[in-house]
Amino acid sequence: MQQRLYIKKLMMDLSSLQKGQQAKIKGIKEECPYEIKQRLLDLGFVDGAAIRIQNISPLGDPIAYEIHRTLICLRKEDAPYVRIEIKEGNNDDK
Amino acid sequence: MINSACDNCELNPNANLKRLGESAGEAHYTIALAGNPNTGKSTVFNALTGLKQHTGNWPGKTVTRAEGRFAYQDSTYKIVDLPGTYSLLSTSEDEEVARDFILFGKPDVTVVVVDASRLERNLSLALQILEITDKVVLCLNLMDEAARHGIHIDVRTLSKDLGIPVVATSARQKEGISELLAAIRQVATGTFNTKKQQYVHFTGHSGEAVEDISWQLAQLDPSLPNTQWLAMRLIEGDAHIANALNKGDISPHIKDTHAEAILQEAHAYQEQIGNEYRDKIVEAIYTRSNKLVKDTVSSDLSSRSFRIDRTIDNIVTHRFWGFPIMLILLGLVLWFTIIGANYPSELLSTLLLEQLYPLLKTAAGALHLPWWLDGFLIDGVYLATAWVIAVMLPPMAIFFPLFTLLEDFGYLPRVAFNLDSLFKGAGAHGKQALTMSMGFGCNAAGVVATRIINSPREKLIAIITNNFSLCNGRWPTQILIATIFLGALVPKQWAGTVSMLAVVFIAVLGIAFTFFTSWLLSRTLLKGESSFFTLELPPYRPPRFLQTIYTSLIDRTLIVLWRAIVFAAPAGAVIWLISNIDIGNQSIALWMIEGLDPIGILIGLNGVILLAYIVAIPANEIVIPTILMLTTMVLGNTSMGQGTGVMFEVGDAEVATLLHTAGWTTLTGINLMLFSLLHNPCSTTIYTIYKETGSGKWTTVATILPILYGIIVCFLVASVWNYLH
Repeated sequence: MQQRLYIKKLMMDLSSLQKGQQAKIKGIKEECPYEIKQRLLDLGFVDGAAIRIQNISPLGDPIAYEIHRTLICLRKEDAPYVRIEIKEGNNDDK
Repeated sequence: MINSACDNCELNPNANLKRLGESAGEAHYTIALAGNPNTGKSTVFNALTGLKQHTGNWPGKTVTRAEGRFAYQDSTYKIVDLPGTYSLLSTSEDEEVARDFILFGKPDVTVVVVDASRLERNLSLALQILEITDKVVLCLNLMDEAARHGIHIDVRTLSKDLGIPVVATSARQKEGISELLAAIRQVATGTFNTKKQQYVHFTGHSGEAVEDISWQLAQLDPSLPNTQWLAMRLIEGDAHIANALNKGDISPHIKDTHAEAILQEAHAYQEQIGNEYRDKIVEAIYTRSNKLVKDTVSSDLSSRSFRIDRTIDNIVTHRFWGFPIMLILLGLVLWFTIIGANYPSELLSTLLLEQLYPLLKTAAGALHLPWWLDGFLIDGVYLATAWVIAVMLPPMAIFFPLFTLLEDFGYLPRVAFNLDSLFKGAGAHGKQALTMSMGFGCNAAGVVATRIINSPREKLIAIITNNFSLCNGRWPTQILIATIFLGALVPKQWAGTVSMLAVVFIAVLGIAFTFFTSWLLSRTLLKGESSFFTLELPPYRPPRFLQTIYTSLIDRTLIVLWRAIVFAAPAGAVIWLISNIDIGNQSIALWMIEGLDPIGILIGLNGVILLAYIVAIPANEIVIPTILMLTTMVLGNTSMGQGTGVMFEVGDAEVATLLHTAGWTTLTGINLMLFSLLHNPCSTTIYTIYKETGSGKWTTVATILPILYGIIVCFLVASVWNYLH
């Protein structure tokens, strides 16, 4: 039970990811337009991929994510298409 | 001829590499070069062919296919550099070019260039290509960088796992090129027997569907090497591939009725599986890629250079420091360019104008050339060309290498990252930040650089607005006029600062016009929202100073300079002709000046300036000398200048006296600076716009729009000015 609470995972989308959090991608949402979905998949936004925020643009948008050891920038309006699962209590920013 | 053992030995291949550049003729083997954007494909291409494709540290440099040739041992090879793509599954233009060539061009070998430090994502493309053909060599490029980032790759295991030759290279250092050549040859000649295997295993409904269609295709034509991939595409509903199958382009045994039946089944599967299908395919590819990486790559995430990259990123994209750093770097580049260009410019103008020019005149005299031929050739064509070289070459030779260093280092994509939000607001693309900065060097080069923007609408916006980046050819005009008319208004010790600030103001105004025009176009002629934007931030690479200076001189400076000369020489001829051919009692030039004067005065300029801008369309550099020459002619002042229709240069003080005598006021100076920012692009740029857009309509818009701005802005400023005075 206790163990369960420790690894409590939250299902959400990429727009709710905070800097310093680690997350796993849980697929692309159905409402995502086909062309965007294609591009996201091509860039490696696939089920199971680890993702975290590397940098936020000085104007708050876009955000550079580290995924498959590359830095990919997405604009704010496109981030919600990506479903993620946040690993809580895992601050790996050190 | 008897070859020694060494000549045939595959361990001594470099001795047998002959780079043949673009030379034509039949080749024994055709090689395709594929890979993710920004993996050093162009560098590998250059290393093999000896050609000089422009390379730079940002994704998407190679858009159209480049071809080159080389001879190696006893065979000749044609090598085709395909556009960099992340995948072959989508329907973008780049990917279709790459995919069609690998599928229909049937290259003997496909070299997949991958970035060794980002293997996971890169292997995904390699696996897709392996689905189409097994005649593949995997080139693990940028090994030096991978090593710097503490990444170690077990090349032999990777080669064994994939069943193809895997070669580690650092193409920038020319390391591993001989091994790459040997591997290409082995695959081309069949010495290395690449093993066809099933690389990716699809599971679930999608897997069954692919297997079924693939089996049916194999039944009809057992020789097809890529049935699984074809099946994947057909179920996905790729109309392009379906069409090719129907026409028998893919296999002569499968067309018409056979093809029709298979297509129908594929379609049925598509309906059945629906949206999930594509996700599953890509997931399967990444699962395989992950596994390969896990088995063969060990990396040290805490390595020093990895941390350095992160630290630099944290600084240059910082919430407070990001923008100041950008402005300071731009300021430094411009400052070095303006200050640094002074001395060589003077040297060149002394050499070409003060020493060579009189020599040519004397020689012409000795040869008894008729006065009109002498004037036309030496005072017209030669002087205009010499001017362009003296004024344009030094700043370009400084600006482009500096810019290339920043580009090579990897800083420019970070600028796009910082500015994207502003461009998005204007309905434009974040990468326009890069093409805009490039425009400060040369608008023609900036227009060419818009190729990195993949959405046609946003690319057009970037092309049309590039002219608002104050280019090198216009900086001298700005600085001279600011010094004479604005610097002179304040006490001497402030003069330099005030004129510099005035010039920077004009440059920033240009940026404002870029945003405004992008916004305006997005709401009128080029309606639309800013399209889906992704940008990859490449790893930083230590810049190579000497090589950068060399290649940017060859690639950019000389090419741009050459085009400018091609256009400036005829302009010189025209200027001389209109000043020396009389209609009635005065020259054509005088008639034109008189005709243009009323319009000129209305917008706070004068007829001379307008005529100078008309004849100086070929090159902004010759505006000032043309103005001086025409002014002297109008005044009939023979104490200055060197004759009718002869361009010349004199010191700032003399220019000031001359222009004040001709009735120029502070308003004329201010408006000339504004007009120099807001007028039609030079003919080199117009021609480049036409070549890039292939459209007369958009070329016209890009030409007319800035001039309209110029007239409106100058008219408003003049009206306000006259009202206040």
